Amino acid sequence: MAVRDLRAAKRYANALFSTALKMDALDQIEKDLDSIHNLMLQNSALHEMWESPMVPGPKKHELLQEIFTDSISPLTQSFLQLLADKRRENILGEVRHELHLLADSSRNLIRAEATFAVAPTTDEQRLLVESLAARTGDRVELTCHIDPSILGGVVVRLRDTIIDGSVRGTLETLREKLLQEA
Amino acid sequence: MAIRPEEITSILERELQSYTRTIEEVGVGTVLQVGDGIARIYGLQDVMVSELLEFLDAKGNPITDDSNAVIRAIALNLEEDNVGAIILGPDTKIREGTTVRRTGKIIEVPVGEAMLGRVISAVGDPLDGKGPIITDQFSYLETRAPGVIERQPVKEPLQTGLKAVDALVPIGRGQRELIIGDRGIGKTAIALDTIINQKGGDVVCIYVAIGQKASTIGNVQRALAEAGAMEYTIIVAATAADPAPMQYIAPYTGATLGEYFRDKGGHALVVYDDLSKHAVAYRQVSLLLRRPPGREAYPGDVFYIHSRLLERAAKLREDYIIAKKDADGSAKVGVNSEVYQGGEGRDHAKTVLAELPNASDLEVRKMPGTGGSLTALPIIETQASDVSAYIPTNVISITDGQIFLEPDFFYSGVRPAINVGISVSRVGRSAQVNAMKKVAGKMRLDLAQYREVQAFSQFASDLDKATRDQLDRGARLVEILKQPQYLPMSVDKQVTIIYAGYNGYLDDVAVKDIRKWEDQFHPFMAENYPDIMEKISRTKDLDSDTEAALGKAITAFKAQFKP
Repeated sequence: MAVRDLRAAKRYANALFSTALKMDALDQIEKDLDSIHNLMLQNSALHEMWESPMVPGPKKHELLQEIFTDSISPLTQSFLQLLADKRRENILGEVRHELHLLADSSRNLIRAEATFAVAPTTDEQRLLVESLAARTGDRVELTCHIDPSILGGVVVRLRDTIIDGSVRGTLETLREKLLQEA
Repeated sequence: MAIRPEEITSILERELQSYTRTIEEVGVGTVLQVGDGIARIYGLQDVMVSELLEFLDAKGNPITDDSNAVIRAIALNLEEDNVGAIILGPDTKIREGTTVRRTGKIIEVPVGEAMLGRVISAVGDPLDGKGPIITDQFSYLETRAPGVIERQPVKEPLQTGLKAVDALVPIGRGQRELIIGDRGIGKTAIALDTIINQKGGDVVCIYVAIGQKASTIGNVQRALAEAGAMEYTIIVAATAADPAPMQYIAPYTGATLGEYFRDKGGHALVVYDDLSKHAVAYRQVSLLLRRPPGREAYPGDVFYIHSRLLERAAKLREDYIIAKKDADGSAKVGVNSEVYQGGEGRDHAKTVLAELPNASDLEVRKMPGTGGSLTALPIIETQASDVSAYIPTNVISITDGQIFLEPDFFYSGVRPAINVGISVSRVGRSAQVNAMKKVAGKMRLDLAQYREVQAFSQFASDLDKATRDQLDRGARLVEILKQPQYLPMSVDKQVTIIYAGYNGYLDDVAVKDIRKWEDQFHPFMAENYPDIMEKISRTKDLDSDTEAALGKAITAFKAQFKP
């Protein structure tokens, strides 16, 4: 995605977010965008049709109406039409991502990704969530991954920051320190 | 001596105990777009301008180039929703979605004596296959140039070994003298001769090649090595095949290397060959970063990138201390722990010294590590001798003078092809040695008049005697200023031959015989009148006694010279 499009995606997401807040339909819109995203992942023909510049705007309206009439809210429907009219179909994925970020921050929620070497116990997870929450002042929603190559400890990614408490990272810094002193 | 394993273990154990486990926290981002040596990065919230960035592979290890050096990038554009960075190395392994890590460091390059004799890349990696460079000293790529208080006027000469330059456009240590001219008429040759002429002296030379063919840089290295000049020279090479960001930072690397020697009281000379290509490399980087183009599509700060580079060339102030006469030369603290700054400080120190009780055991001496210099010889290539193009005018206005090379001269056999009429040195005159000042003082005027009369004489067949004399003298002076490449000449030889030419001793020698005359003259002087040569090179002056002796010596040589 080009840098230009990213900027546009942020603006569209902002507009969608504030409209959704006014209409009190934020949860619904988020869910809609997720389900559209999933559907496009499963059905490549739909995705191709959506991004194809060959399909004229009105035709897209028709098809979308047919596919989504009952399953998504009217706001999402008109948002898709707006994107199609403005020929901004390619930023849909980015808009979804930005909308989640906006929605999360309005709910004081931060999503963190944690990588463990071995599966953590629920107690360990709770401890990590609590300490991250204390650090950020927000609620933290944790997604866990398992990667044995970090050897031990945990690596947490909080938006633009990586907190590396893994054994691998520690060994790496030790190695650098020894090399520096040599 | 046998190594006992338990000793090694104990050292490692001690290391481990002192090692406190810290949790590392780094800012990261994701590559949005990459190509042409530029990366657009999303994220990197708190990144600094000019901060070094590293790219991470899927396993979280830094991405390296073919020779296992970590590929780094410099964050140059901090925008609302992305960061533009220039990649220092090949960008082929970096893809959309690659994770980028902050390092928290501003870019720095290795410096020190270990760099001498080496050929290095713009980031300080060795390129000459002579193994790693072992130095523990690093210095920032971009540093603040010395301020007004830290400087002093240029006063010592930097001998280039070229008669035409040393006599007519003298260069002083700490000066910025531009070498400008079309392609292939000897700009690099002047710089190389200057480097070769520093042999046996105290000047460290740095040759920065920007955007040149690797074969050309190879030839430069070979020429310097053959002349025995590599031992005090560093070559910084960013070839035409290197990414534009490397070509952009190469001159700053050269300046940083030179500053190391300047700041410890030594003398350094940096040649930037050439700044036209540097401007082109910077234009490429800027346009790819979507900075707005200006005149000739160069970005608005193209003047500033050159002025801040050349501003780092400086002659630093000397500081003085009052020390015991038998004290160690490296002592930096005087008996009254005062430091006296600059020339005024020295005078003040002398009055203070006179009032001290044990004045006879004390002396005012220069504080070691002060009074260093960094001389810059930037080179600019013009198109069809057009000096009014954007980059040439910029650099002309930044430097303290220029040596202008003329294709017509070059092709008519006047080499070095210096046009002495429009070449100037704005500060070098005060650094010229006295002997040279005496003999070369009026030569510039003579040459200028010669050129004027020469143009005029092509129309007139009948000339009065004064004009004919002027023409004859001028033709001989031009002949004297010719010099073969890689043969720099010491200042005493320069003084004697120019003295002979300027005072009319050559007027009755045919112009075609002048070369031969000079070739035989120097060995004759060295053999028969070594005392004159020794006196000139020692005192750097030409007093009336020496002048008379020199006149006699030249007459003696003329008596036995056969063309």
